[in-house]
Amino acid sequence: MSRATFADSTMETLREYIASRNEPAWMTTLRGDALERSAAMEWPTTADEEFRRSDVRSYDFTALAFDVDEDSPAPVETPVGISGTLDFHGTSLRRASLTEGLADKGVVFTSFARAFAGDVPETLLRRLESVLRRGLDSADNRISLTHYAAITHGAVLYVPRFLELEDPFVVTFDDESGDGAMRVPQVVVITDEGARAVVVERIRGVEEGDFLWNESVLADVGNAGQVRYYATQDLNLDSSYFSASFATVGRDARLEMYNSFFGAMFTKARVDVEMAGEGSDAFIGGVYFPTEDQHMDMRTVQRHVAPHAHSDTLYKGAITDEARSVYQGLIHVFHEAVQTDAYLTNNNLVLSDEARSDSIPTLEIHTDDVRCSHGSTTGRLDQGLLNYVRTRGFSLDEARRMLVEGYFEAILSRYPETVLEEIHEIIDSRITGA
Amino acid sequence: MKIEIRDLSARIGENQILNGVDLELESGKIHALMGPNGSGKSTLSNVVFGHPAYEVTGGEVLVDGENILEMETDERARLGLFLAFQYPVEIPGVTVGRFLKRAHEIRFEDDTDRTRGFVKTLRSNMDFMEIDQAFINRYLNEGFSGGEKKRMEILQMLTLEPDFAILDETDSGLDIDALKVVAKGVNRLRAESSFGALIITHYQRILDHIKPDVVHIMYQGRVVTSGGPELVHQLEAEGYDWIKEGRHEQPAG
Repeated sequence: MSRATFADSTMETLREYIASRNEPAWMTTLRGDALERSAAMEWPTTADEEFRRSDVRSYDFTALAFDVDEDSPAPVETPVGISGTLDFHGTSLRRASLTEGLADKGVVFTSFARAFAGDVPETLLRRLESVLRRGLDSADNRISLTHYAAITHGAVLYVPRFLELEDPFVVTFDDESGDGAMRVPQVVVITDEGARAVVVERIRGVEEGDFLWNESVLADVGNAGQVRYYATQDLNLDSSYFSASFATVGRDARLEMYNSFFGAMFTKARVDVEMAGEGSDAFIGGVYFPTEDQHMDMRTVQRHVAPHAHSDTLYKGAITDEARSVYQGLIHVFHEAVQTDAYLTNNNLVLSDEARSDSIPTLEIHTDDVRCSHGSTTGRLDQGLLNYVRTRGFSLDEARRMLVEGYFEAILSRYPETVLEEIHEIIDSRITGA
Repeated sequence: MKIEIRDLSARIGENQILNGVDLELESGKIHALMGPNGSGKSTLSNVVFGHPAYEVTGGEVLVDGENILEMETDERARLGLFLAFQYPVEIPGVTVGRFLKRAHEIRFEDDTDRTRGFVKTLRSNMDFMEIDQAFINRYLNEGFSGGEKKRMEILQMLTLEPDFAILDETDSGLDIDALKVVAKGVNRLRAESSFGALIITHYQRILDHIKPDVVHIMYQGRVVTSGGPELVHQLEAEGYDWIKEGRHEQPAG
């Protein structure tokens, strides 16, 4: 199979696309189900609460061309301190590496295409199916349903029982240029009981062209396991970025899920984390810094299904120029989830007069015996702090940079070195420009 | 360094606080500035550093002959001026080490030997100020006690080695041990360099540990008299009534 190009993304085209994929029957069925469910829905409008502040009516989601390219991975050396790398260029896997010995231990780190081509054991395919199913079940709007019908490429990581890997697995999505094209990547992370993994995902700046991204990240953290996931989106300012991620955290397991949003003219991102096992624990961290006339709308959901679980969300944004941010956070405690301990904090730092930021934290609690709280702040850079720093010789630009970086530090101090340098560079460039 | 404050007037909002301050300060000398509450002492230090909340309504501040009132706050700092704050602010997410490293680089940008030796300098200054080394990695002033914040101000001063510093009520709220450590820091710079300082205080106590060369008394937005250390004892004995009643002598020079 070589590169296949589709001129639009109507129902008919997507149906044709699904039929053209040489995938296991369950995947074809899953895509078909997603398509059928999406056909029964309208595209979101501002009448839908989740899209109330983010109007998507100007998008023609059926007119997006897309392509699927075959993988041609060149084996490369795994960098020091990295467990493995998968570099996508467009929809094609171009470079792949895995630290020696990990494959023998049962680690799988590969592209979707290669997984379906028989690269992974049957048992893992069944896990993959159930994780994708759960993702599809959680999709509740036409855009994220379309994602599951149209997945164009993606990565799968599997870490077997009790294997603890501290070095990150790095997935990079890169591109050259495109025009009105759609990318539909999928990342799936599955860890077995007691396994630990760190994943870094970079969606990097496409130089030119208005891509529309429709992404999903799914994680299934096995009992007593630990996953830390760091995603950075830095697309160009002509692009649009949609994502809906869903994770389940097993008994006594811990998930740390971080997203940083810098690029794209329009971002609509949702992260759902389900405390599925007793005693599970999650930290959901977010950093966003829209500039110019970027629009970023983020939503997090802490779903407490099991008892005795803990979760904590911290989203911090800086908003400048004429940019707009919307944050909606929900702590949802189900009837069975007694002794839930959940927190939700959103801070917004507004750096210009024209910038605007909305924060809407919500609690939905269906049981007693819980401790839940939320808080949000929106403010300017403190003049007293700025003045203090400047009495130490810092120019206005440098003082602002130091204070804004300090502001993000509560989240960025939890990031691995691998991504930090890049993020600091992005933040610096925005403050200097601000 | 010579600082000449001439007929300086300033207000905050509608409140005129400085009403023509005349004051000459120079490196190599320790000046004390005393005066009752509300006499404008802290305002004077804020205006010298260009705090945006204050509006200068007249006069000038010359540093070695150059008027600094049009300069940005950071430009004034880079001349070699330092302000130890009465209420040091907490800087979230910025560690003591990182903050001071950059401030040190700015202060000594042309002296790479010196900037290279920063960590050593900082550690030895921390020992001298009896501050635990673990503070290097703590966020500046966040969760620090009042005394720790004041010590941190003096640590910054020692590390940045200004030519002239204004210490705005650094002694207030300090116990005697902390006060001695603060005094030790000032006295070290004084002994090692041509360092000068203006020590703003309500109390004689700090001046027992840092002997001033000159004492100035401020009242109702003006420096009403200046003299030697004996002024401190007169204030101690008589309070400010003799000032308020106008029985003081005219400013010397």
